[in-house]
Amino acid sequence: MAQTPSPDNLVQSIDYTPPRKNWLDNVPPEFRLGNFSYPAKAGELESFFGYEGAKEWSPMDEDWQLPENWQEIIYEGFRERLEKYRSLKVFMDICVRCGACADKCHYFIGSGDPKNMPVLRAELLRSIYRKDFTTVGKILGRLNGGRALTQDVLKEWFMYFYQCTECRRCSLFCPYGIDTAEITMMARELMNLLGIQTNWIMGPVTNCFNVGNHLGIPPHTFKDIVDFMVDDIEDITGKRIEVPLNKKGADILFVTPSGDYFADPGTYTFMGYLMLFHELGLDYTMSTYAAEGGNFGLFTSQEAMKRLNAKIYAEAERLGVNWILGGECGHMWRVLHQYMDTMNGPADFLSVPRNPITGTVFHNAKSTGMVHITEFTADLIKNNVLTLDPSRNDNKVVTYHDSCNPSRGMGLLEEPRYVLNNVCNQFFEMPEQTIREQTFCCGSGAGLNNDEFTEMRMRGGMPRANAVKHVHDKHGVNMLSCVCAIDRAALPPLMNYWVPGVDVTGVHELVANALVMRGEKERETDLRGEPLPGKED
Amino acid sequence: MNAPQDQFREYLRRHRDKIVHNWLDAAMASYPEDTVSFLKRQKDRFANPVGATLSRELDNIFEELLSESSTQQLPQSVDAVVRVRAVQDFSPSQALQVFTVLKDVLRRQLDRPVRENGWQAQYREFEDKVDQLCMLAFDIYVKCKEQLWELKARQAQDRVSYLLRKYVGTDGSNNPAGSGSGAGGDISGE
Amino acid sequence: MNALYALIMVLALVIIPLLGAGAAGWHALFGVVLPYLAFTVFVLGFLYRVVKWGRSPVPFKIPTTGGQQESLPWIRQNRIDSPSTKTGTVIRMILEVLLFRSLFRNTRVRLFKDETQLSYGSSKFLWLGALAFHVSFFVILARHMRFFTEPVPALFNWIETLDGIMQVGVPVLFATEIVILLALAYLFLRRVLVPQLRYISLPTDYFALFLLFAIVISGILMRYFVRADIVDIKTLTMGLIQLQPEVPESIGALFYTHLFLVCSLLVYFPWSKLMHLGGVFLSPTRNMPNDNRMRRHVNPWNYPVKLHTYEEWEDEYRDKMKEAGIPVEKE
Repeated sequence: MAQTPSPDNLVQSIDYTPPRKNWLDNVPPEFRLGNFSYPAKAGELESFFGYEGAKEWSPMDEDWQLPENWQEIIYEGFRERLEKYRSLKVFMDICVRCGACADKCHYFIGSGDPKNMPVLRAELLRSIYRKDFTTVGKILGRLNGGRALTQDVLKEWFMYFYQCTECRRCSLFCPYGIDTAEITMMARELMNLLGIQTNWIMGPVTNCFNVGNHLGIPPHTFKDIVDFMVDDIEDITGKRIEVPLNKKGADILFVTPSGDYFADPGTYTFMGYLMLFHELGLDYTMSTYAAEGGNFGLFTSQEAMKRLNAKIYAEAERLGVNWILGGECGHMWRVLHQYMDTMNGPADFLSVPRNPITGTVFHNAKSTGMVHITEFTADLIKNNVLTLDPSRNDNKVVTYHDSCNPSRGMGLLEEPRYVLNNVCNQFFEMPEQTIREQTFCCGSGAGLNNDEFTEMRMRGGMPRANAVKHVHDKHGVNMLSCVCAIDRAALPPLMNYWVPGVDVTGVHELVANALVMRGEKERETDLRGEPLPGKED
Repeated sequence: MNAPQDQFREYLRRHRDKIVHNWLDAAMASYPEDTVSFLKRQKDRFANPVGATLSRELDNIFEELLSESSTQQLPQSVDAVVRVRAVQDFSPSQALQVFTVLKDVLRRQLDRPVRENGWQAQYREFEDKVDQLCMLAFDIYVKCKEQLWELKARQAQDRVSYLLRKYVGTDGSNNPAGSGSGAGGDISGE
Repeated sequence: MNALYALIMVLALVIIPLLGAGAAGWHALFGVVLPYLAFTVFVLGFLYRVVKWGRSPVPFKIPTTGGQQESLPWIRQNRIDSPSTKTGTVIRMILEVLLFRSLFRNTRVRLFKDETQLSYGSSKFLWLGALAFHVSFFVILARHMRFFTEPVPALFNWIETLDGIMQVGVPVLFATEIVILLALAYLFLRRVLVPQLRYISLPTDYFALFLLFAIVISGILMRYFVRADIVDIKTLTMGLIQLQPEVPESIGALFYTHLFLVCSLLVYFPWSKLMHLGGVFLSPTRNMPNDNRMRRHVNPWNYPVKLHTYEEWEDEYRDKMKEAGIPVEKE
């Protein structure tokens, strides 16, 4: 499609209707710079997975230099996973192709590519399953929708399972709850067996494992950064605060995605946490070992996820804390809410989380011992322990983007809204079918937030941006708030392209702007150094 | 105002809905057949931003072409359409075909009436307007692509903007990617 | 093309009994042997599939949450779409299985006072069509129970009376017969007419629809047009149930065609997507409560993995940490 058409083509293409091709007839997808994520470095695959025979390759290569027995490897891996996951087995069998999911995917909506319909994305895997793993499929073959596993099929997998952000929106509308995220995860695990993985995912995974966070920031640099933030906070509020690191015997361990401490606007959210904790006099600590809340293992394999996630409980136990508080992050919370306890628990060394300021016991986290920061802050606000001046956010007209994982993998919907409504005066919701459990993905989840994929992300994020544009035009919304570090990285360029004039913020940046700290100087600016309303000159 | 000019406009106005409808059909033919039905049928503009944008903005653009004087609306509408096409799976020429097809649509609609009424001059004049529209679209397309490249280029820095500010003393806008390695770590994924 | 393959297959299934039971007169084969065989395949196949699913464990608790979680006591939880209790989960499942709640979600009409009016028509029809088909199917199934029971329990009589409540025609026209035909026609037409659906549809998708069509049509023919002798049929069916099969001579080829198609459905069922009947109950995104952080879920195959322990890690960074004033374990 992307090749420059000949003049003949140009004339014809006016009446051009694509030939009605059966998708089972493999047409290898056309990889070109801009529509795929770069492959992982061989060295990282080796060091993390002990994967042997990794090669430098490009998806644009005609021949992917697969191991000789690659089909066998996939076949075995598939069989193993069918035995391990009822979800996979059931989801492979029961889809009736009713089409309810077809137009629910933001990538389909934005690209119009029929292979982005969730049902078809799953069929890419199912067609192999039917051919090789079902009785009828073995007999009927293609009539039953089966096809042979060829290199072209694998190319299709790489193309389309790395165009799925595992957002689960389709799963919500499926009458059987078939979850494409689950299918994508399995497909990626299978490709992983052949060393087919993307650099953007594998880099953070190895860094997180070896050093402690996605960027590979070592502990002493981490401390430096925190010190910079403390300086910035002092400049703005006149208050010097302390941030405990690796402190044994603290009440609470605080874990947040690393994006919050190296990139704007996440940094302001990070400052927000620090200011809030200081104001409360909270007995907490951060860890330089478990310095990452995010977990790109979720986008790699369950084993990788477990290996990265294990650090959090291990560190909580070593430091002897009572419970764990988690910062604003989307996929991190999918892992913490739905996987951590099962994978690395039971966390019997923790106690049931109890807010030391209000006395509220978080019964909903009694087993994992981990509480979401907006649950924590909502409780503080409800109990009137914070002095808030929402008018400091009066120059911001705010809307809220539910990130996929907290909304469809956790059900965290009201907590952030309650907080937002208490820290800013102008809050407007986007249209109903684009928020809460029906929220549209930012287009960059599940490890797609890389530079080379920018154009694709602009497509995938279009439905989200379109809804923001609506409230921007209608209510003058200029601030898009969210509780996700990937959002904070992905939404600014998305807004820049589709809705200029809308900035992106974490919820706790707004909290900290509104938070009146004891003994603070009269603030002139918000955390970004922009003048507060009424202090413009 | 001369009479043929008025008649010609009047004719276009009368057949406006049909022309826009055909134009939309021709524009949508650039998408896979399986997708076109979704683009056309799903009327909710949040569930179907692409289809909604096309149908809304092509209508606006045609209105602008009909009007005597140009307003800010035209570049805005063209921008909305081109911005979508610029990030979809199209070559530049395919992306802009959405505008060039209008000439074809017009030719089919106007061939007879133009000959019968001797509107050749008016017709050419209107075609010139469509050519200008295409040129405008081309400008905007290039602008969108430039913006995408800039976004790409800036992202590497934006991801570590805080580190750059603190360690390098700049927000990175003048530095090549990777200068954040002063932070002591390898900037992953880049 | 896909539809054509399926049509040919179903036509073949129609011709086989017409030749076998009609022309060749193998009544015992089509009236006794095949039904027993088909029923056995169905029951064993169904169990086999469910057991096969059941044998794979559920390693993680992965409900798709469709509403507010249970968190702070003053935040109102959505107890159905984000249930944290068994009861809530059961209700969610019941609504899902009986009322197709997720499909219905599609159809909730939302009004926007905007320039563009929205319509969710197509999706609403899908929910309606699917529900109409399934309800009619089960009512028809219940009506047929009169052939397998003596005396006929009151429940089945009520259902039949209710179904014929329109009181049109002799014999009374059943509403479900009209509805199931319309629903099947709708489900078929959308597959053919909507390009997206045509693109995703496989021969098997059409096969199931055509097979059901053929069953319904042969049934309707027998009831209204080529009248079959109910008494004789009941003799056959009761004989089957009591394991004392008896084949009355007077039963015609049409009945055997109907029966053979049903047998085909029974045989085909366990190996096809029709198993969604059983699978929907096992879907982990729906049948698990959203109580992840309250109650630990155990993964039976959880295994130890290679970790980068704190001790190893500190060894790598100890000097730098000490220099920066970060506490360490070993001085």
